[in-house]
Amino acid sequence: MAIRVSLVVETSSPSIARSPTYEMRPQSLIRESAKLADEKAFASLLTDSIRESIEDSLGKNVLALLVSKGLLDDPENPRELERQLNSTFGNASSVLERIIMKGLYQKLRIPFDSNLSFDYAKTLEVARNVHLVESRRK
Amino acid sequence: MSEAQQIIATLLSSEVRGDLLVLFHRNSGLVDTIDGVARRIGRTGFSIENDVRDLVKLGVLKMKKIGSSEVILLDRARDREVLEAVANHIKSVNRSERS
Repeated sequence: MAIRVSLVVETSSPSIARSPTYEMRPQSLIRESAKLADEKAFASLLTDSIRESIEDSLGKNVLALLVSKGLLDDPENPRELERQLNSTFGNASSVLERIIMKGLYQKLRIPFDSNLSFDYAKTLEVARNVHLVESRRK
Repeated sequence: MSEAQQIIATLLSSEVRGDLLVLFHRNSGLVDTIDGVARRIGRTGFSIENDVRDLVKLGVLKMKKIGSSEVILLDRARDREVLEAVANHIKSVNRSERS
């Protein structure tokens, strides 16, 4: 997400038109930039979880090969990650997805219930929401 | 199914096996009873018996008798071989995708 910030220049000339972004209040700017920072922090946690989970289950070489195939090019797109893991590991990919999410939940201190039915995208969304709510609280 | 595909299927056919792999790779010197290992991954000894047996059959884990207890540990040499086979399989998939 890009934030447009205009330089505020005091002028008495009525002929200078003000862009809409000119009116952006500092408070909302701060909120936007905090939100961006939270999203960036979450993306970094997710990338770490993917890396650690693959390396800890299948080793450094496998991780390096998957990264070279583009596994971490778009980590926040759950469908893309599922597609990539499935094309390499077939049915076994669902266990890797669980391991990744378990790692992420551990980092976020969210209890992970293995008995519940699992959907990678939904589980990721829950983690993202918890992270954002927790970040706002701090 | 190729040998590598069978290996992948054996390694990752259940969440318990995934948990066991992560546990032993993070703690490669770990030696513990089946109940102790189960506790470390938040399960019971009974619930991981089958998965441990299959990983022992594959050779990644091994059982050893210490006194009156039977313990589980990682067979590092065989583990390296198995992970190498998985890596080679991915390389061959990559090659066939490119050609």
